[in-house]
Amino acid sequence: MIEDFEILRYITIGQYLPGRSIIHRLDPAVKLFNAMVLILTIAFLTSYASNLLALVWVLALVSISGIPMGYSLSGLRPAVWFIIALLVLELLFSPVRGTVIWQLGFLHVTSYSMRLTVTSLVRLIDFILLISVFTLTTRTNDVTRAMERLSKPLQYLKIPTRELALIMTIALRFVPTFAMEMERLMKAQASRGGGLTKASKWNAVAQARARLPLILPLFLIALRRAEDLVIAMESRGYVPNQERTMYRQYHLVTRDWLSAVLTMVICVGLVVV
Amino acid sequence: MEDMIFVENVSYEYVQGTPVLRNVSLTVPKGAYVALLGANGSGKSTLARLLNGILTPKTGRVIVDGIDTQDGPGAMAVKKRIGMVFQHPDNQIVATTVEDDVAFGLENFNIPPLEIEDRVTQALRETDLLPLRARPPHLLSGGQKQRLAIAGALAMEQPIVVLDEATSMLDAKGREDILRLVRRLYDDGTTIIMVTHHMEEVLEADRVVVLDQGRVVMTGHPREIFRHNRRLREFNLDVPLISQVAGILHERVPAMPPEAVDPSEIVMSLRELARPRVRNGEKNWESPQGTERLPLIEVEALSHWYLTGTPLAHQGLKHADLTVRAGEAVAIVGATGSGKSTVMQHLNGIYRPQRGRVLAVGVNLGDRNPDIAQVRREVGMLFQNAEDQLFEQLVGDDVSYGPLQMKLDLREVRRRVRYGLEMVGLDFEQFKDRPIFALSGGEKRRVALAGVLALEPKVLVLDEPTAGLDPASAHDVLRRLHHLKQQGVAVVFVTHNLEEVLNLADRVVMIQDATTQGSYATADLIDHPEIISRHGFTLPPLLRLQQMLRADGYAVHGRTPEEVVESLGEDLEMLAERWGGGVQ
Repeated sequence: MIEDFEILRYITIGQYLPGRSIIHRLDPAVKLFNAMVLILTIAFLTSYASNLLALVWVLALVSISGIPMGYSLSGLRPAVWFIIALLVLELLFSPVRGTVIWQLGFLHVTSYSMRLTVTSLVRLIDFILLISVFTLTTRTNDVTRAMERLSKPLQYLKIPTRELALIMTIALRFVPTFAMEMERLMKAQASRGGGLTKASKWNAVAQARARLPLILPLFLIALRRAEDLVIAMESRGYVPNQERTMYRQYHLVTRDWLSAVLTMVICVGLVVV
Repeated sequence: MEDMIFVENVSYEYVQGTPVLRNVSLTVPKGAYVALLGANGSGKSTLARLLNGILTPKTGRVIVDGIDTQDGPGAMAVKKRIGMVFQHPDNQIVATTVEDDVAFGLENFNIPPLEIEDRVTQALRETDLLPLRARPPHLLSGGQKQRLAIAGALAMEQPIVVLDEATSMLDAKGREDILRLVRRLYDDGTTIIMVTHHMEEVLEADRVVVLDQGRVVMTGHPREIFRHNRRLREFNLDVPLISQVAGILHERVPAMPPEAVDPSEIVMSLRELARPRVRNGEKNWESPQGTERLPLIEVEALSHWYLTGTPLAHQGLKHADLTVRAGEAVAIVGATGSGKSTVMQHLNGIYRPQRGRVLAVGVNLGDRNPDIAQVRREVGMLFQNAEDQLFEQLVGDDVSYGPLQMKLDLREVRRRVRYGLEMVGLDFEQFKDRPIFALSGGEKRRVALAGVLALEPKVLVLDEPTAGLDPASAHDVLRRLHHLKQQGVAVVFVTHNLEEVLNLADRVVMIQDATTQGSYATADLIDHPEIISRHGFTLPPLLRLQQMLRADGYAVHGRTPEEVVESLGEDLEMLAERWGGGVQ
């Protein structure tokens, strides 16, 4: 926290990397649909073979999209210890099934828990990479519009999809703004000698107390910004739930249909393997 | 001419019993350019919000283009006619790209998509934002963000544009761009309402309305308004330095006209009274050759990359050299994005040198394990909008944060809090238990400064210390910094305001294109203002005046209007003698 004040480095959400790959050019809603279908399918894969094939396909997608692998995986970094802990628990404490490979007291490593752990890890990497491919090749507003379009049927259930999409847009729009604000608060506090006291990492109370000077002002800043934003939106004629036209118009072309069909075929294939 | 806006006997209060506007009446003809001038708390922003119906008057009425803002269905019609540009560039952008944001208003008014596209493109072209149409807003500069807000109004083809302190967060370049753009809108027939507390911006208007404590106290042409030097200061407004020079000259030599808004006017009037001097303005002052004091901070060949190792990596600083000695004030001047904040954040070890050398209070920050705690203690740093960084409820608690982090005993903490508060002119007993939310903006900025001073730093580094403050508070902060400098604290401040530099700095480091352009004594810059222009900065009017006077043979040299007039010396006495008594 003290040495590295570049918060934006760890925020890959909402960071669009411009490019000309076919994935960049896919219709965002189709892209989102494909990603969701793939993620759902992968979630149900249990065998080594099918997971391996899924990973190969996901890696292929990453290389087609042209985004650096390391960068798309950097979203994992803050959670890496948590993930390791989870995997270890899964490895050691899963129900005893299949052949026992290793045993110590109540701890078992079985062929079942082994498979579970490996597939969990592969699955996690698949998910992170897929989400990165989607968000890094799609402009933020296209992301929210894609969600809006895919959820259109829900309108008939009286769910205000357009409003939800706008809320999403604004939230994403302010992620970098608040990250920068947070960065400045951290620097200001550090300049006054904060963050240099060596409270133990495990002393939760001390750690939480040390964060308070960041959270409180950030909260106040957020409230004030929200107030300003509401006035600005109202001034520009925004009224919730009123009929509005849509600037962006989307037309599906052949490659969009093809990509959807291809995704479907691959998913069916993965399930069958 | 028909009236575009008609305000009649309007009063408004947010909290019962504390009126913000009292019985304000106002008419704005179609196509006019009106400046609403007033200090913080004068009610000018409230008035702006009443104009487009965000607020509706408690008593009286507001009529815009024939529509009463209180008339239910009319509310939407009024918003369609008035474009608003607010103070904080960030807080009015809704969408995640430039073009989508321009489209937001059009979508709300149900303009068909194809037409939206045409209008968005046209508006972006007129605001020079077309190449940035797909850019996310957080990658725009402040000036570009405000231009985006104006583009939104242009796309709506709104006949009235209200700018509510729209330039107060911008650097000189951004401000000029906005003023030029507004001027063009005005020339095309748009009615402009400019809410501001900056006198320079008022010059553009054809009518000024001065508000004080919710009342209209003066109206007239900008020139007439400027003449009332003293009254304006009573309303906590600043008078442009050139007008101040004119005012002082008029007092000394009544034949000089009391008003001027441009240096050339003063020079012309002087020429009418006395022939330009033949002798060339020789120096009649001593260059302040201070003893070479110990350097507290040395920066050599520093460069810095942001977000290294990611696809978003970019170089924020190419090459910087800087030396700061005890007891001097150094200004780092540059436009937004020139790298000046990056240099600044190296001075107390927030950033470590990636390449180059930074030596701060004897600690080499490039070392493997430098004593960061000592650097942070001895190099105090105040960030932009420091009042947003306060986090305790009571003033005293917030100021004590630094000393408590240093694990000082309570008596010493108390002494330091007292020292910090008193250095910024807030009485310890009176202020230590005040809730922070009840303070004014200027007082909060001072509390934040006190929090840094409580560390008793040897060097004080400040990022835009007066940005966003009204003139009275800004002057106050500058005065405190002067005082600190006299106490032996080295003051380094980052600014884009060259007038502030004249006031406070002994030396100036100009930074351009992420590279420092050498260091100059302020006194030398006053004598050779061409150095400033050569580095691409606009000359402050006070320096332009001195340049012109020198060309006429006057040996002038001064940092403030008073000093400039004083430096005229015997020339002034001669004029006063010849033209002093009874003329005009």
